[in-house]
Amino acid sequence: MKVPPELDDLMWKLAETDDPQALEEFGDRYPDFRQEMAQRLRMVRNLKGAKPSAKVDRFVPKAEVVPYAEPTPKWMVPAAIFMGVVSIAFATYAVTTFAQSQARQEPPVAQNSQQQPPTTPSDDDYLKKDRSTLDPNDPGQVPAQPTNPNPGVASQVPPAFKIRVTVRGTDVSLMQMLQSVAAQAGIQLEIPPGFVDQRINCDYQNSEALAVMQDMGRNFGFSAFVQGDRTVLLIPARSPDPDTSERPSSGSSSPASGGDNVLPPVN
Amino acid sequence: MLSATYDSQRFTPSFDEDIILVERFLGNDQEAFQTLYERYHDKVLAIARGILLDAEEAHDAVQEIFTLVFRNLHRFDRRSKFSTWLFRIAVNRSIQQARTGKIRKLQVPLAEAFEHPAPEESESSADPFIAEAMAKLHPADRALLTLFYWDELSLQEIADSLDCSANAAKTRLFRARERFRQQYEEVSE
Repeated sequence: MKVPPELDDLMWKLAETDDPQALEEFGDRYPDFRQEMAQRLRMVRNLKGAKPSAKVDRFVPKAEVVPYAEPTPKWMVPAAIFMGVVSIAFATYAVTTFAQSQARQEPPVAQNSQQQPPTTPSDDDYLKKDRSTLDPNDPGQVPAQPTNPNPGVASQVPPAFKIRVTVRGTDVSLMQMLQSVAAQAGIQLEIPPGFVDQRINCDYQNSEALAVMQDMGRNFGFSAFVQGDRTVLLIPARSPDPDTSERPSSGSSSPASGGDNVLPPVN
Repeated sequence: MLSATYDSQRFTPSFDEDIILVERFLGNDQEAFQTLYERYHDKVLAIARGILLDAEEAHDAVQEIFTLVFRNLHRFDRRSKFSTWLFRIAVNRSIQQARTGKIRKLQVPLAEAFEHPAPEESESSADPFIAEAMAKLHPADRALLTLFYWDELSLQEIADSLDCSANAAKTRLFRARERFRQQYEEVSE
């Protein structure tokens, strides 16, 4: 039977005071709760009666007592929880920011780590170098892209591009000269759509194939990117810093008067 | 002037008669502490027994509590009654011991336990359901019930012993009492 709260409180008080007259009055007034009252009275009596007592001997201090630990202050628990949550949030934020900055990294256009000799710095090396200077707490900081002063020249050029070639001509097709260089060196040209042919004058004697193509690129408006052991990609754009590139040991080129032709891609 | 006011507030002499015994003990009267020990032994034992439930552990705790008081009585600042200070130490120490009770039990060899049986106790009640219901409660609940039903402290004295307000002590006591009733009815059915 459910006991109303106010009656419940009264029953506890009666059980604790154990006043026979008050108990009798309660039984008369609330006959439905007489049994509940009796049960509660018995429980409280038994609880009070369970109090232990023992013969008191003479006090002798214990030799060893575990140091008394003061109870932890009430503010310590929420403070510790708060600090824990803040630490977890900060760690999560730092890790997420670092992962995002890592995902934004793009490999350099002309770098191909799989095809580079072991001594060539790989993309990972660039990334590691840049990461070491990152501040993981700065979400706005985007790591600098690895820069290559001359993307068309890898630090280690495949042997085919070092083969010395000789091309010479006056008022000849740029495309023909490039194909001549490629044929002599045994390399393959990849030319995207939109590459503009033009009439040129050139004279390269016993010069490295890649150096010849790069010199032509500077003069006639394209960039040569080494794509593998025997492939070079010609993109109609200049190298960022022509002065830093190696010039052929001998040879020269200049535009010749004549019309431009748009060439189809050459495989 | 200010320091005099501060001192008078801080060191307002209490009319607690135990203070006289404390002063006598601090004046190197060892018998004064024996009197305090005899006066409060049963109450401290009740607290320890109520919280720890085990008779032997409770007697061990009582000895430790009084030893702590014996060695640290000079730290008693007299802002509260001596009994309140003593009960606060007893409650905290017993709860602390209850938390490590299982580990200690495992560490004590069985033979050693038989060599040092707990002193004889006289318990007027043999209701086994009381102990069973108490054992199912949290040590903090047991502490409240012990202070109220066994040591018969007022709500204010309980609040002082537990370092909380009288209202908080009242609320916590009522909840502990209700939880005890539920457990008692459960085990006695």
